[in-house]
Amino acid sequence: MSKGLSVGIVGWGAYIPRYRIKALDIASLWGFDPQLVKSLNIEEKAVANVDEDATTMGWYAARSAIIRAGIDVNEIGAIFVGTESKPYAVKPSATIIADALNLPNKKLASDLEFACRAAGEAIRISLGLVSSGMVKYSLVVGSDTAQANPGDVLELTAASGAAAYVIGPKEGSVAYFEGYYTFISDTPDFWRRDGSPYPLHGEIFTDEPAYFTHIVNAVKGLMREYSFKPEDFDYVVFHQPNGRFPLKVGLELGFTEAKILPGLLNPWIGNTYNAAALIGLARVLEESRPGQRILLATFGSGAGSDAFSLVVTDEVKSKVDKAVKVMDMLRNKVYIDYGRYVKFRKLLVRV
Amino acid sequence: MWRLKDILLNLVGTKCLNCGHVFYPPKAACPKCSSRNVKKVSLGTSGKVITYTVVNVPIEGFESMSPLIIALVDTGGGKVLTQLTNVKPDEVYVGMEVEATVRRSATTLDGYVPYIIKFKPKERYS
Ligand SMILES: [Zn+2]
Repeated sequence: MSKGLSVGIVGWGAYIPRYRIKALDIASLWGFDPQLVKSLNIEEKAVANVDEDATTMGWYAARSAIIRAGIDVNEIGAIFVGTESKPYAVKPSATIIADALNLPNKKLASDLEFACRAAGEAIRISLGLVSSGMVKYSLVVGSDTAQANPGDVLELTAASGAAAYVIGPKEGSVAYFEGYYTFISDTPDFWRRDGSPYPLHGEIFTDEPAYFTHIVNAVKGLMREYSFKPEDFDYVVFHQPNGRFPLKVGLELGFTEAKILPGLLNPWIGNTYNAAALIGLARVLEESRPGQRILLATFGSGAGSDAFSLVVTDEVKSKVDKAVKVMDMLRNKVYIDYGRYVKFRKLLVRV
Repeated sequence: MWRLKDILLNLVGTKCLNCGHVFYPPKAACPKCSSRNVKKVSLGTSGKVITYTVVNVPIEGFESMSPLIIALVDTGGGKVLTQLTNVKPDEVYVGMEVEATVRRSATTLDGYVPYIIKFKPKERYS
């Protein structure tokens, strides 16, 4: 059933910046119908400070993941950073984060790009590297300061955040992988051309042919290959471009709302792109009990989805309190107005 | 700039093995007793604000971060002159508990992004 996998999550960490802006503040500034905000199920979004970016947030999440893992960093043989908001167009963030964490020089390191699912792909790659014995531990970071053209409906949700996972041997893991299934196709739902500061997208975000088609196919593929039924899962965590899509796709796949809601953070932090599903998974791990089964399904435009099945182990309890928790960061917030949002996200260019 | 990354990103100071003085940034000789018998030490990642000052008109390049709060932080392992972030000037006080975090400094003229340690109010764990 496990395709011979013997790989698990050894440590996890998340990062949500302290600042929040209310979606209704953005809507009223640009004249959006408040009903639109309601229909997207978005209250507020997390905004990175002026001195934060995908690298600094990724560093914070990765540090928590390593602390929870409790491993010797010299045994980390790979680091992958999934992001679509790298500070440099050319120059890896992975090396900056690795050096700041004192990881060994002898390792693989790369930034991956596949819109919001690059970090999901990094998990797939890590499953291969760890199960083949090529590396003992692989560090996966998903981090984004999501861009949105001011006045674009995307601005209601495009947010900042990070999550990181140490992937390693099943023995000693907090949750082990039972199965995986990836579904991709060429679907032009959302893109950002080289040199363009903001992405373009089709009809209000990515809808039926993109988000729904790819997640449904990945999850159904996983269920088929491993003979799972919706009832087998205690939690389901989806990529979350807004607060509505994950509920819709989850119900469509036969899961109850109670299994979707614990991992659905979009209404309070927005869409953190590569971190969106992974912060949701962190939140679920922090409240899960040994033996529970979690479904994780990422999504990235362009488009693709990875579905993973995970089983929580006894180790989880001893790791939760070793680093800052998602709920702590959700509570520790300061509201800012549109003016400070503009300053923080450098939407005004000084000359 | 990147040659300084150990100092900027890892809070490494030096300890004088002659008189015990710990100093940051690291130096080849002790500023107190001039001994060259020094070793690198990690200063720790959290501490308390000893004193601070607010720079309302910073030098060119730092405008987006103004007002800049520069603080002397005692980490227990040593004293660090650092920038505070995620906090407003009227929220800072002497004795405030702070933790180290990696943040961006002002981009250099050729577009390099220096990542450095700053301190922010300590995260609360529930
Ligand atoms: Zn001395």
